[in-house]
Amino acid sequence: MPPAVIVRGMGLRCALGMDVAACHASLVAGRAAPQALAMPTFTETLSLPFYAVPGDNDLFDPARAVALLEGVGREAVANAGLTGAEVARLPIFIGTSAFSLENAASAPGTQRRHQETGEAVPLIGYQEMADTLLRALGSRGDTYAFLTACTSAANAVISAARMIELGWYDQALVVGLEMANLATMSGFSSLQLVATELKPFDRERQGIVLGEGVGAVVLARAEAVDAGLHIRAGASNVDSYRVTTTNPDGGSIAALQRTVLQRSGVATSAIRGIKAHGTGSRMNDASEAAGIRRVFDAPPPVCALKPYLGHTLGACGVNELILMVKALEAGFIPATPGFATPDPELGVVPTTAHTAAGPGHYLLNFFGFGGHNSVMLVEHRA
Amino acid sequence: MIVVEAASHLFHPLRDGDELPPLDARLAAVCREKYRRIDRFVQLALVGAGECVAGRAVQPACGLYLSSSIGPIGSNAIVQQSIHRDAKLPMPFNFVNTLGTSAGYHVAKHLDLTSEAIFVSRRGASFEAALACAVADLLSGVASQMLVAAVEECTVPLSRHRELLQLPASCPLAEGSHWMLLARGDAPGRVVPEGELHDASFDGYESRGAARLTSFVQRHADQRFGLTWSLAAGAQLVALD
Repeated sequence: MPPAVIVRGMGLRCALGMDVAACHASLVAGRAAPQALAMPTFTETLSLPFYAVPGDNDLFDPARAVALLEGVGREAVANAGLTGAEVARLPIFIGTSAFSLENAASAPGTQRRHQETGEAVPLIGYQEMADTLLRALGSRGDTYAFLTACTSAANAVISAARMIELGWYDQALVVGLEMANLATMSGFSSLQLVATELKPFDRERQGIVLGEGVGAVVLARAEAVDAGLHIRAGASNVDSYRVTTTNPDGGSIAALQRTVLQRSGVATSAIRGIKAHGTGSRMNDASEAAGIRRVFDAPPPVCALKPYLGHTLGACGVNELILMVKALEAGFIPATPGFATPDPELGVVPTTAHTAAGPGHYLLNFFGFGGHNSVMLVEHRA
Repeated sequence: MIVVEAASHLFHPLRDGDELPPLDARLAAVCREKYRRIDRFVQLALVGAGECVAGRAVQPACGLYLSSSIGPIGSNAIVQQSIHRDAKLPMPFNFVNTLGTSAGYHVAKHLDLTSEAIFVSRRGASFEAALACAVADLLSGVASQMLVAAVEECTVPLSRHRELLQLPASCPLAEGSHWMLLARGDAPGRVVPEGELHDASFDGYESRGAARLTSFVQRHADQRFGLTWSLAAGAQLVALD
């Protein structure tokens, strides 16, 4: 068996709160409500619900994204208790769907300048996020930016864990980042995928609700007996059914779940719960439910976390991992807000209340545009 | 040791006033079907992947790491223009094409790949980052064959491209698509000295590391190559005995 990789430190800023403890407390309390945004930026005002990070700041203020990113990085590193020498060589793995950190390209002020002067909207590029963290933390470590749509941060976790298992790194900082962004908001609106309410696996589900959030985990090599959340296995595959959705027959999702079970040597019957991707879109939930049913004759408890913090797209792999770590530490699988009416065509009914959960193995599902499926198998050890 | 089973190299240095070289003929030569609504970044990826594989049998479980320093800049510029200049929602296919991962999707579909297809970036060393991920997967045994690529797109006019990326006027620009098909293996050989790989025509190019490796392998088509890799030294090309 390869060396164990555990989550040693965490930092999180999302609609639920401004640190990990606040986010967990909000989740325990069942807080789950987006705010209504109306953006007169477009010829026709774009109105949509949005899960924003708390605060009075302008959503599109570039300094806000920088502060949130630096904040979660510092929180995770402090929480992990890393020494200065460890931080100095800490590699950084970024997962995002965004082109750059600063929202300069999304800020309404940029639009005015562009319209008035013809000035090009700057596209700063993927490296900016990692560079910002390197500077903030004083690290000179390697950087990797993963851009696989909504599986970005999950794939960043999987790759970082693999490199730690190989002994290339002792620790790694994995960050998921997704901020309010006009391109994303308008793009998903254009695709007609945005709903007014997130209702994963519900018969009346209509689509996704976007959210912003920045999360960071420090992964570290550990002993197999250490307490905490172990990343036991992870894998991804590509489903070329359509660029915007996985095959609704669930075949590629089931194949991936089986791959992860086989790699970890964990029996299907040993899975105590599944954190679904659970976007609330008609097709995604159908594909995911079909995949789960193919693997599990009687699925264990299934929860979806997006009703708490919105769909944080490329960042959800880290943000939802953190929420699961805290929930399992507290001994429960979270309820799935927004779900009310089972869909008989899905055959999967998510949790309707926080459900007692103990040490053991759990699957975390993440899917995205580009045919991306990613699954992690984690073990919570008390 | 990693064996280089195949490689391809497409490189277009560009000067102010140049048009982008057409890709249609090269795309038609390697793709069995015509794709609609794909952008230049996807075209560059499909041409590179097709020319690399060139009739070889690629395992369905072959992994794919596609890298780029700036990604699909053309689609990103179109979407930003739609939002900021025209105050309109972007067209759905333009929005989807802003994700660099769309290129991996199309390559996977074209080659019937079913394993991972991951987009990685590290400015100035994206191919090196992708290679690290690919080697980790090969050494871990989660894959036995891997496509690793760097794709860089340019938009014209180049003055606008530089403005988009806030590059100085003196910055040389080029687009390219550089691919290697790798597999686990073991064979004796000699490390190709750094000096033999150096090619000044790639100076300043975002994916110069990929360009140097793939162009060298392509120029020495009769020679078999491998790669050694370490975190400290990165990849070293090995001419196999």
